[in-house]
Amino acid sequence: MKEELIDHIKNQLADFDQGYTEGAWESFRDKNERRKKLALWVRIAGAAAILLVAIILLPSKLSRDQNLVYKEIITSKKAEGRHILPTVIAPLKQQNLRRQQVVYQVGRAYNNIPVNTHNPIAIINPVSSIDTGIIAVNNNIGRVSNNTTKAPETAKRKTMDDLFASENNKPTRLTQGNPGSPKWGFGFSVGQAMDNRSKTNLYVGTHISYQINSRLALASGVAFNQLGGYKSVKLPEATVQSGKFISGAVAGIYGIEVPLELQYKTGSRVYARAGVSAFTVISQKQTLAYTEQTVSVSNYIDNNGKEHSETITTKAVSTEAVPQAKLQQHTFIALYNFAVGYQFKINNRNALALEPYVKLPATGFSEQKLNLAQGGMRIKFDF
Amino acid sequence: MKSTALFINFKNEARVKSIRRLEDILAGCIDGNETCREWIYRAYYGYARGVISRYTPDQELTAELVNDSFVKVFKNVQAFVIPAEAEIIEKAFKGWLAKIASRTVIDFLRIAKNHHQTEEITELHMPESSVTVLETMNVRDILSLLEQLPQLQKVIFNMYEIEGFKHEEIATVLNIPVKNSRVYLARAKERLRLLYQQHINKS
Repeated sequence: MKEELIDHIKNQLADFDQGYTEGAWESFRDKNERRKKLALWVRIAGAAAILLVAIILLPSKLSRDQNLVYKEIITSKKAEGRHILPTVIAPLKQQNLRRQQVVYQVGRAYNNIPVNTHNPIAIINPVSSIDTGIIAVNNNIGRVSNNTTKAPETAKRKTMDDLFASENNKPTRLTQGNPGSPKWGFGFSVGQAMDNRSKTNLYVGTHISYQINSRLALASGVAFNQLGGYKSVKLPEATVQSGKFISGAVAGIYGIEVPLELQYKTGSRVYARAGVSAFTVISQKQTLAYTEQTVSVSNYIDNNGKEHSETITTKAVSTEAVPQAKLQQHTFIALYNFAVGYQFKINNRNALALEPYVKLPATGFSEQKLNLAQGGMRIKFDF
Repeated sequence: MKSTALFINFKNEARVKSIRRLEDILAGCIDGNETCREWIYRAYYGYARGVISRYTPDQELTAELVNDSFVKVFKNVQAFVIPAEAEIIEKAFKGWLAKIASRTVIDFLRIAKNHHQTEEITELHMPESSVTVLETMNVRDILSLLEQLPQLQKVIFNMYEIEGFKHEEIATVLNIPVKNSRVYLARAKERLRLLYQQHINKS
């Protein structure tokens, strides 16, 4: 057969089929499942990130809006105040307007300070003294009463400063839920946990939390964590054939974990957390234990000439490390997290918490379906 | 007797009906039917592997790239235009799959942005020689010959001669001038002829 080389190559390669490799579809399907799961987690993480950003931006926007309202109120009060001569200026805190919204009550006497009734009195936003509490009183009433317009502004500024100072003196822990104060919490945590191999696993991480309300907080972070698991596979008792069987599997994994959790404060010190984690495997080792069983039957005749048959089963146990190429198929683990915590306040801003926790894997790990559950204790430092 | 014949006819007909046509299976793939996907994967796995192994000898990498190609196939199967003639559906599908597989491996090899672009090509008119094959070479021998080509020449040879890309398309995919594509193809052919003669002399 005479054929030009290039044509020959073309013809030979045109329909070249290498044939199907056993197990290729199963491997493809499993990988696809993992890809889908990963994509789902990415979406969840994205949604969580958007939610977090929204949670961050919304209160700050609301706070800005409240400040605008407050400025408007003060400006209008100033404008009106120019036409009056107030004798007593007392900033009052109205519960439903919170600390930014201050109203002024004029023309009353507090702390036995006499009111100059000869001066014109204007009542701006009269507020019932039952509903409001007096925070500060201008004692320079006599001098103020003789001034015309500047006194109220000075007095306002002073009382506002006093108000903020008094507010700032209060504990500013994030859990207080003051709209003006930051609601973010940061911290470090370190802990140790045990898995079903009876080995300890280290947990080191940072966390960030956002206080949704006085009881509920959303927490995330990043942590280095170790996971591990052991599984023993029992050979069926009826197994009498020779062969090599997997009798156990053990895995040790290092990775980076990104949790997303909800924290619920049940009391002033106790809280509970629940959530999920995305765990990305950095390094892992997996060893399979094999039991090689040899069954042989020996026949012999005893001294009495009686024939006997004896089955001898020999078992040899060996371990083999799973090749890295195969391990690379398992790079992502989803975990459910549950924890309770007891918090000790070190000072107004810092707190230390003891947190027993449990991590449960969403599925069994690798082909051996290892259980990577772990439970332990971590110490958290919030600042 | 008549009823038996009828039953056999019915049975045979039912059996024929149970064999699904490629277009039905492709429609199933569009609907996300896992069985149809499995059928396509198993049926064309070897072919896709054959396409990719023309570009890379690494078996593990080939398996990975085959899977990547099938992910793209299943994701974009609705883009495959089924020809009106039933006889050429499979050929058309194989051609489409081969294009996806070759693009996948080319993207992976990142040939496009490599250093070859800066090479100055001056010899535009290379004399075409021809070598007649004295004895049929098997695919393994051909693949080992291809393996000895420089990567860019191998890719261009595969794309032009086997996959049927035009020089303009190759130039776009590989981000090289069209004339370079032509010259590299000519060089690849010459080198293959030379390698073949060496192969014959050795044996």
